[in-house]
Amino acid sequence: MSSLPDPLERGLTLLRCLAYEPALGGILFVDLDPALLVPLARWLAGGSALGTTAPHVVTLGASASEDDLWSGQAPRFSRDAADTSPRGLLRWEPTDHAPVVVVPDLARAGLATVRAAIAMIGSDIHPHDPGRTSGRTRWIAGCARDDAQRLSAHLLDRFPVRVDGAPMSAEWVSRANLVEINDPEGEAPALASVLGIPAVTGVPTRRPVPADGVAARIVALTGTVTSRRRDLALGRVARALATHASAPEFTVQDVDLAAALMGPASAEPPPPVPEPTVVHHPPGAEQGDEPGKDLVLGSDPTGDTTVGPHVAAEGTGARREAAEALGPEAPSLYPEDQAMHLPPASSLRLPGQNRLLARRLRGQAIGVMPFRGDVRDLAVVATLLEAAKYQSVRRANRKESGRRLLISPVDLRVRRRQPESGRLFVVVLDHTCPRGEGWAQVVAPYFRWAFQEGARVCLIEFGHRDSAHELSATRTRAESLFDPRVLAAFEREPGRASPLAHALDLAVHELRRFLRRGRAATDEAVVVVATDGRGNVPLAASLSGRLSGPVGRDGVTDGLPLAIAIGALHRTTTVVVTPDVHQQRHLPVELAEAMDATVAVVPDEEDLTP
Amino acid sequence: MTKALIQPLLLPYSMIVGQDDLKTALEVAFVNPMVGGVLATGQRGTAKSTTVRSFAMMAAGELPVTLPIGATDDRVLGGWNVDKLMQGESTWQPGLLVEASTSDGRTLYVDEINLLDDYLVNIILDVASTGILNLQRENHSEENQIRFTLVGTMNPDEGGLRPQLLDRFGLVVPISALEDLDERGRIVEAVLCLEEQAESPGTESAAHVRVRKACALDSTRRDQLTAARDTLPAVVPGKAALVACVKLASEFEVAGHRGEIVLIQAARALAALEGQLQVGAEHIRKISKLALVHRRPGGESGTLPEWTDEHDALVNRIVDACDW
Repeated sequence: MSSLPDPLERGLTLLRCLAYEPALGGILFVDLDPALLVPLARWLAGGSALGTTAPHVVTLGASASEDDLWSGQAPRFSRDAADTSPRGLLRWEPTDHAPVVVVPDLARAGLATVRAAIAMIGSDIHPHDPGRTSGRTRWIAGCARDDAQRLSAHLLDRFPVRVDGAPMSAEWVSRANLVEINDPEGEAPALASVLGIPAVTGVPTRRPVPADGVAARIVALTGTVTSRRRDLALGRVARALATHASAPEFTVQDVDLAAALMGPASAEPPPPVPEPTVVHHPPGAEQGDEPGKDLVLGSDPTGDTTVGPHVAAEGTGARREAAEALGPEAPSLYPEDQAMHLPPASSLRLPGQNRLLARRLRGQAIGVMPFRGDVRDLAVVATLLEAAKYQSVRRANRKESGRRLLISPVDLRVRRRQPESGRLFVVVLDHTCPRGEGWAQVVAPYFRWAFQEGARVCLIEFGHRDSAHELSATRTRAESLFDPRVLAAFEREPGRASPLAHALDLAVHELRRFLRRGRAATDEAVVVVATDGRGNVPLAASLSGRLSGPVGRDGVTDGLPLAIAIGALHRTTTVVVTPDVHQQRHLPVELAEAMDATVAVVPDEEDLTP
Repeated sequence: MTKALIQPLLLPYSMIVGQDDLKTALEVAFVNPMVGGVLATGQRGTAKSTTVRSFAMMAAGELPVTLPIGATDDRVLGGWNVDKLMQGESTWQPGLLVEASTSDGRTLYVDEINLLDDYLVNIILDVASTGILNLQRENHSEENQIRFTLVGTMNPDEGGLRPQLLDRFGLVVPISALEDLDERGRIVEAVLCLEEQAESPGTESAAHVRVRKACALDSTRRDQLTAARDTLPAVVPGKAALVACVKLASEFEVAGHRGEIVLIQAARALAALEGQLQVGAEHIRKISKLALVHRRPGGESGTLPEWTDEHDALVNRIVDACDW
């Protein structure tokens, strides 16, 4: 039986596939030493240069902002002129190759990088010239395996090709001379010796065509996976393998090999495969990286790992070995296929300085003010008007300037913007749940935090007699805790229905709205859920406004996935405040566990009595 | 007007597999811009963007004017050309709204619209619904008549749009992942076929033939859409159609009157597409879901209440009860 190539070759093979098939978009290396990402990207870029200008490699760190990516630096003023042409890390001339983008840690990538990845990967639409097309960017990203579980499914979907990088790193170390890689100057040559010649050295003149049964095999292998990107990626990797081998067509066996290289890429085991046929690749293929020769390593009958004939003849065997190679305990490289995987609202926060700057740059413009060291939010007209006042004086002193407008740094004006709080306080109030005398004492720290931080408030309440639709929760947004609507919420009489799941649905959307949208990122959110956990209205009933059939536990179970979604949010602190109930005590604890929340139990009145 | 620098690698519209509802919505909005915009909301990897772009290429021969990520209000509304200002000249640069209005396709496409800043979404929707862009900014005063179809796509995993914003979209298409293996296989075949013919220039293969045939079908469809646009003014909604639309809006507890207006306008477009001059029951039946799914109460959080067989049955009951 043949086996998969060693981990390093496997990763390099997939990189070559990306060189042949830019539509793959990118590769996510899980648990790979981040130091290897840039060399790998250069290897990819160097090998896929089709002309004299090679694609350049752009590295996007955690602090890359929208302006860094798209707008570039502020206008640059010189003595006689200003250069206002836009710049940005992800801007390139339409006549150039699209860059290879490296994201060293996808879990800690800034919001701007994540948005760019979602918009650009796999697309050949130029990101900043709407309606125009350009080459495709290719993305090389790294991520720790544990962190991958917390990435949004939307983002993970952009990386249908993933590589387990831990054994790759180990293999790299074992192949390279340890003495050389410990020497900074020797590291690059050592890496180059391991990587060999660039990913692709020639451009195929003709793509292999799919043989009969290829499409059916692809969808059978990807099983119930939701996204069609996975199907297409499998087909493209298979085609790249055949392209490299100069085969006229790619077959079911190429697809199986591609699946084996990509790891367990489907949510379900594949169905039985018909007896494979021999792959009709040209005879005489030899070892090496050049087109026309086999791309991957296999095992010969003696079990030694060698460069050998196409191993795809083993069909699902290769795929099974891929699964075995990962080990039974290894978390999946495709966590979004798990039923309980829910997306977080955002990646980790940007560094503090950038957050403060971002906050200064958002908010409604309410005027202008003199420049104070940062011209990113330049008020052009106010600046020019200020400069205009002094033109006659300045031109008199600088006759060589002719009729040109002379601008001095003292003319510069920037926009004055209405300050916005970077804090959000979400209170979910279950009025059917008795609060008790000790309630205020328990929640006081959180309300104090909201007051001190000037947090915006989102109040979500349900289960009270004033409710117009008792099956639904209601949401109130307020600029501060002192909004009369917030204060009034604490005076309501309890009702009968308890649409806890709907309240959590509102909370999830509210948090995503503030944490994820655009440039106006919220820095921190605190969520206080005051409930005994006894929801008695299913989410569907809340949304449709109609209750049909018995409720059972649906009112509780519908809320748990939403609670998990809240718990998965970064930059969010969650607290479940519950009375010391004597029945169904487990419900608030279940809710808190799902939300990854602290449980604050309000003591009985008796306990408060001295 | 924006022109493609190189031919985009896009599936011809007629090679798109499935997506019947989205295709219907885009065609209806093209034939009758009074319908308002189209929003496609669905899980990742369901070809929302591909369908929108392929439609634009088919209908207008160019990609839609697209709001780039990270767009600012200057880019959307327009602003002074700073380089010219520095030379002492004042030149106003039109924004994307004007650009969309003057493009051949008259379409503004916003991918991941739910990630856009609220204030930008508000601006765009205001202009899209009123048809007027009134600029009073930076010492510049200008009023433009703007006409474009707003098309948005979004993944609801990232959060929803507020009901007020949803209501501004004429038609909303909830998109679910295809589960049929045959259809999925056809998608794979179609995409691989397109890439094969695009990356093997100068040769003639089955893929080239297939894509060429698809482009011919696209051309035919474009002619049909243009003819339907010409037919539209002659299509009149009868009394039964009007009553059905009003009753539907009422039974589905749609707030305001936009629901029934969109419904009747969309039904007119469907009739025009079929070459009929009278709106029939089937037209209303077919478009009801897309016009009403987002206008029902209960979607405050941004989660669209599911459209079930019961809702289809209710539509059928109401439509059948009218005197056609």
